[in-house]
Amino acid sequence: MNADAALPFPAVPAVPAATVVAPRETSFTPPPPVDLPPGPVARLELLLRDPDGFLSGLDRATASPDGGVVIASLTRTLLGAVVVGAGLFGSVIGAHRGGLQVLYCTVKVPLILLITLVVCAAPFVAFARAARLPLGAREVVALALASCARFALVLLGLAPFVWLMEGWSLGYHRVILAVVGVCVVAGTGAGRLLFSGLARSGPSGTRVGLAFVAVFALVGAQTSWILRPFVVRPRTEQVPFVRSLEGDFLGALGTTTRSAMDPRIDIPSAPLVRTVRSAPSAADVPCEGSSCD
Amino acid sequence: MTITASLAPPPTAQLPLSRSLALGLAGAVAFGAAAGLGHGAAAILRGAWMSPALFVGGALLALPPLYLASSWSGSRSSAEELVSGVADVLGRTGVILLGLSAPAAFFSATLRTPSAWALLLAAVVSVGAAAVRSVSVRALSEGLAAAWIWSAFAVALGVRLLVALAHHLPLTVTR
Repeated sequence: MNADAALPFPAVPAVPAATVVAPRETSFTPPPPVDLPPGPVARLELLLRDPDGFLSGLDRATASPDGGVVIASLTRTLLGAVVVGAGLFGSVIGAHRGGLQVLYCTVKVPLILLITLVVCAAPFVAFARAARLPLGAREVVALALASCARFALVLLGLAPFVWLMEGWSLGYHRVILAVVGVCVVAGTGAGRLLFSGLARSGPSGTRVGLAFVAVFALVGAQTSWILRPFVVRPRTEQVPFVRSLEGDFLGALGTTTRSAMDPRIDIPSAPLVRTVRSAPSAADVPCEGSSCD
Repeated sequence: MTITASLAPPPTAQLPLSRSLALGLAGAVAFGAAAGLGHGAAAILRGAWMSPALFVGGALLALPPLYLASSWSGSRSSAEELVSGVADVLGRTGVILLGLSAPAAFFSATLRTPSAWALLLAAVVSVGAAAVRSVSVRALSEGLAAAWIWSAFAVALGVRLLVALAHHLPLTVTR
């Protein structure tokens, strides 16, 4: 991009003013560096709509003399976005059961992102250091936090879709798949910001980004597993804040996928016993296994 | 890009040999201990010696064949330069392992299924493979065949070490 800026503009022949159309040279020049807008809402809007502009603003903020103050203020904004965005998405998930579960999920969904971010901060910095990316710890964490905030904002935007799925009474397993699908979409949006930010730092940025995503996805899946239940079957009588440690996320996801494909099959993840029901009905046996979340 | 210019960049030069070795050792010890954290003191101790045995021991064992492969492929790197390069990669691997200690401790404390084995194995294999590739690209860039042969040997060596250490693995799956 800097090389582009050094290119001379092509000579434009003089034409009558009436025939002048939109200036074409804008397509040859890099976008001007953007400062982060002052307000939190404008910053989040920039984060959501223009990731490259946001990263450019982040560059300028870190380069400026008062960069520390701007980064601190941006961090508060991003944390707020994670808490509010993921919290509201959690409340929609909790609405599947209703009652106290709405509050539980409002607390637990932001916790998933924040715990995952805390656990992953050290490996993120280590990957960047080992790959010799010219990024300090503060910048790596800011980039990861911004990606989490983008993830939470996309979740918030797609929360009505989950609510719609719940309203259609598509069943417990399909609602879970809808939630997982929404998370995949949000993850794609967050990944775009992460990869753009790392790719700007050097050719090994993409590989580092892949390592980031792999670690974050694994830790995030495990965090969500230990903080379950989120979607609870209506017939479950007592809903705890968290369940005891048993099973793992991938096993439960496989169970849920198989159950969503064939509603006659209910496969509790532990113990591994297959129960084939005669027909799908609301009078199924109460769910006791860890796949009931 | 301005981000590269604005952020206090970490040094890109090679670390001194002793520091690289210390970093590799510390990272491996921290990762091994963290992987055993959820399974008691004995598992922590086992992990703390097995992980360096795997990573540092593997690097030491793969070094002589690397020198042979390097000289046969026409490289003019001296033995000292090769050792220095391997130590640098070991140091970077130690940094990665140090960073992965936090997730390792997290999974060790919260994941109690056979998936924990698979996850630990995947992490060790991925980090080891990245280290082998890094050494290969660095030291054997002039001979593709030598690079492949040495990489295959290093991977086989890693597998052999893993198998030898397998019955000491720090994880005991409790269901």
